[in-house]
Amino acid sequence: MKFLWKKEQSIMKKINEYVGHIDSSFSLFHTFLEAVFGEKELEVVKQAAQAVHNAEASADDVRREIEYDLYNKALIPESRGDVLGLLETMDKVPNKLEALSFQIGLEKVDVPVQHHPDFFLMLEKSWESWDAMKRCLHGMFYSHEIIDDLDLIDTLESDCDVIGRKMVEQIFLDDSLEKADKLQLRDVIDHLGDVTDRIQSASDRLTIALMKRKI
Amino acid sequence: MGWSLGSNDSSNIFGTAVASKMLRYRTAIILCSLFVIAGALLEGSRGLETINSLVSQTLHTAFIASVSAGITVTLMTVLKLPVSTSQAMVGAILGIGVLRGDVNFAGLRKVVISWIGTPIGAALIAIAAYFVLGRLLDALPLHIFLRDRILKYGLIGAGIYGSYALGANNVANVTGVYSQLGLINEFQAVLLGGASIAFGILTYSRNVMMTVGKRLVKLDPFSAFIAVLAEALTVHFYAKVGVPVSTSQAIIGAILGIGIWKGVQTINRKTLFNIVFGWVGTPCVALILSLLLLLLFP
Repeated sequence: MKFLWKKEQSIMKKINEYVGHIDSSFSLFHTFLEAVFGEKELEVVKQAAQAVHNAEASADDVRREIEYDLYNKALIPESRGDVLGLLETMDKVPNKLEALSFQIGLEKVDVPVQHHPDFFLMLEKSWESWDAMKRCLHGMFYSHEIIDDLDLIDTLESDCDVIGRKMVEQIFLDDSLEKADKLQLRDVIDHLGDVTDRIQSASDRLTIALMKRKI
Repeated sequence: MGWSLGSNDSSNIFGTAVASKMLRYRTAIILCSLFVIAGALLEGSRGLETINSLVSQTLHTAFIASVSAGITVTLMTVLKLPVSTSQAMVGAILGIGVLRGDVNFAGLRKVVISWIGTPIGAALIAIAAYFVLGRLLDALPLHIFLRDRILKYGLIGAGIYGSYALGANNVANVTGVYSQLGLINEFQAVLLGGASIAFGILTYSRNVMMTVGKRLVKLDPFSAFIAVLAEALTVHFYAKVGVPVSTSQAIIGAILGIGIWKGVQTINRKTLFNIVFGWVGTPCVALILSLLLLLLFP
């Protein structure tokens, strides 16, 4: 972080910390799904859901600190608006993971065993999409090319849509499931698909910020 | 004259930086005032020579010219018409010259060519600067914080340069007629003129700065920087030539140039009317006023 002043370096450290908390959200949600699908005790599942919530809360706290620091005259107003808007859009990703963990835990969603691999596959695609978004964010701050990562985010969002639709189709063809269970599962799959949608929204916002900067 | 010039023209220089909150108003007016005085002291004398050469003056005619220019500026401001103090002063002095059959047409030609050249020159400089500096800024792999700092301090630096150019170019409008008469020497003329412009900046520039700045702030930060830089370069050039010109027309010309380069409409017909009116209308009104006042009070 050459040529950056102390306050700017501090903000960059906080942004890295913020990104790290979102990384943890994905990791902890994966642990949560393992607990749910492994039919662990209720207390274990509750603690795993709580851990996802804690990661989301920590991300929120750091984001507020970043916002406060940016409003203290770091960056020119136009760039400040872009960065703050981007952080708020990215914040919807851990929010969605937290909401999903509570939904699955509280509603006691029973995912048929044959669909467990697809759930994990959707989560992995979302996680990979998030990794690409992190590289785009780095590219925005450090001025390097990000076109491949933007394309990757698009591709992964489409992949998640395909997997989600396939699962919903199979669920509604499964006569062993009650209608209510089918609707509940469809809802959870839609919410899981929203994770890559939100990452794609963040990448669209980042693209606009970069285009505005281009002379 | 100096007070109204300072309170109005500072908006063209620091308006964007203040309205977009890149710079505090208090810091802007202090910087602007200091560098206006510096410009007046270091390079204001050339303009004095040109103003003094247009028409020979007496104390009476010098006073009438000042009053006429002042009334013109005030009247146009009240009627919300575009006005340039430079063009008002020259028009008022010419009114004296017309009545006495004593106009230096060679000097007048130099002044008129400079007026027309101001927005055109600013537009061309803005286009060239936008192209060269834009390429440079895009090519450098700068961290977002560093890039924004360059733009912020670039805009402030351009503002400082613009303030210096304002003082150097426009001080002649304020005290030129009095130095010609020997009431004050050249040093006193530039000091007094610069100080009166600074006084206007310090006491009454906030409203105009915020209004004009908000209009200019629709430009992105880089375009705003280029506009102020082009305006400063143009006005400074004419300070060296020795002709007081309009900073408003310079900034309008610069914004027009940027718009032409980017292929977007930044100036509308009303603004173009304002430029042409400035060339013709303002000096005519001042000329008629000074004629009338000299006839009324021979």
